Amino acid sequence: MTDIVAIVPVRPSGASLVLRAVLRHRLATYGLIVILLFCAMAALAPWIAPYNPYEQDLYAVLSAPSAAHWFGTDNLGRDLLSRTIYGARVSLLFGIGSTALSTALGVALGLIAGFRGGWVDGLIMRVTDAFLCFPPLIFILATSAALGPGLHNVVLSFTLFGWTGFARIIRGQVLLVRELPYIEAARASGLTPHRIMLAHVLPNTLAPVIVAVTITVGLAILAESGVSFLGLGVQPPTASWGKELRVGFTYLEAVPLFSIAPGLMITLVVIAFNFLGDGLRDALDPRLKGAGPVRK
Amino acid sequence: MTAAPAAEPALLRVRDLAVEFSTAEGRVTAVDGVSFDLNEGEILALVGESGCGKSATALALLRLIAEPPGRITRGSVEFRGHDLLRASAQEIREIRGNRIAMVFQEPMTSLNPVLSIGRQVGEPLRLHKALDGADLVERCVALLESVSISEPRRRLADFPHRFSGGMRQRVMIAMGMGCAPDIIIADEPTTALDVTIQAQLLELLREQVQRYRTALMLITHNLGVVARYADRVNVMYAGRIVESASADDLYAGPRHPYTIGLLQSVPRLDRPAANRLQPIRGQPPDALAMPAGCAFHPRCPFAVARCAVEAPASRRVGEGHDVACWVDVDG
Repeated sequence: MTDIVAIVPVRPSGASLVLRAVLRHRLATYGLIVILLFCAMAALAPWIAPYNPYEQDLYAVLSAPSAAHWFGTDNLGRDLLSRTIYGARVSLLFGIGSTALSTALGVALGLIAGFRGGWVDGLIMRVTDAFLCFPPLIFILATSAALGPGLHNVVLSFTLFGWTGFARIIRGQVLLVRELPYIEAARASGLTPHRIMLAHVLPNTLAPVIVAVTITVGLAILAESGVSFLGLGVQPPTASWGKELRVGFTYLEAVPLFSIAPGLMITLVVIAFNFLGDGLRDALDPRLKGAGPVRK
Repeated sequence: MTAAPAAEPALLRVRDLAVEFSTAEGRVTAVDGVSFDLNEGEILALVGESGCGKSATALALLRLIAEPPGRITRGSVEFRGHDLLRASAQEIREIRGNRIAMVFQEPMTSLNPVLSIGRQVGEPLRLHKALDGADLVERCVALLESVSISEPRRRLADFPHRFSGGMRQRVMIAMGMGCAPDIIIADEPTTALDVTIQAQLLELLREQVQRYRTALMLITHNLGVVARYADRVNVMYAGRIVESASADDLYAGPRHPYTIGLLQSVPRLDRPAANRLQPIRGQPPDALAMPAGCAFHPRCPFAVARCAVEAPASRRVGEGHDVACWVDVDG
């Protein structure tokens, strides 16, 4: 027996199977590559940016693209390429951070609502209904304005809104999963409801959430850009794509890339996250569940 | 007849158990005053058509009826003298999977698709026997080996989708046997499987319960299974046990018109082919509009006037042979 064990090849884990399925999806692969490039850009910003993004050169304001300044300079003479590179930090940090918070909150509340049912479910779902009455951007703008400017307040207001979608997805999944025979079997094994909820129900509800997470990161980046565009997000002198877009607007004729570069970045990264989300959705399609995540 | 020595009380004593479900159209009594005993090492079959309340009875024993919509309205389920229906949630959890285990009817969906086989087989052991680490792995390997899963050590890390239906059902049996329970309740353990696999699994189940003197409650609609494996048989119709006898007596001399009808509607190799199969006429009663009196009387060829008025109580017609019928029928 033991010698057989020794020659058995290592089986791929569930996560690596999903990764393989995503890599077979061409658009998702592109999306993943773009996202990884952006992440590298954000992480390595201090090393790859040619200039300090905060350093002003008042003798060279609004200069056109040149060998020294590839994207030109802004109205305070700061290097636009460097500011665009640094802007990735704000956007990605915001996108990933606020989505992580929304997911954690939404999954927890959705799980409790679906699993407990009754008045707990009623209460949590009525609260999500109330939140969903607002148009998202208006809600985020209003709460950001109420909380005051600053990136952490935008994170807070995005989370305050964003959890509702996750709670609904999870609750729906829980309602499906909790009726399945293996949950009954778990009860018949003597497991506590708490353990059944966390060990048996939760892992079976996560596939659609993973898809929603990638798409929400894109939406969050878009929301941050929108809020910063309107002046409520990051405050000067921090560079953010939304804010650059806004300021660049004024100087569109002098330095077109001032606006276009961050706009392009936003578009690219949001599309990349959507492509990845599509790929993940196909990879995690519940219709393929019985056959495992991979099928030729 | 395999009646336990009279001095020894039954392992499981069910008395007057009743289960109701509330539906949009009204209340349905799924189980209506069921009583039976299960002795150590005995194989008891609960037979009846779909919707007769046999699964609800099984679930009620471990208080697994979902509330709402279901509710156990009366009765008692005494396991070694303790009434499970009055036990605390904590006490009942210590019995579930540990002293009384269930093997469910859907092999394809009764295992959690995102947890490894080892994790699932090990779960009751970890919970009830506080096994951990290498001990737990060894016990799981032994369990899978005992149900003839090849290369059990390697397969512990596999997920259920790599197992066939028959293999999954064997895993379920291994899970059920894990804590060496006193009773296994197997609810249609083989319905979704090929006939050849069915026979293998029932053989396996019998072998397992005989080895450990575990009592087995086999819930099925398959009379062939009953004839071959059960010691005792309870026939259920519309939420009641209408006939209870040893398997041999039941086949040799069924006394309830429903049992007689069931046996005549099943092809048998020990009867001449000239005997045509006789279906039971009519339909099972609508649970929302049960006929008055005996629930079977509208379909019964032997019915008399009294049947439509008064439900018959169980009466003894032979040693360990009870029938709930007003008429003396000789099958």
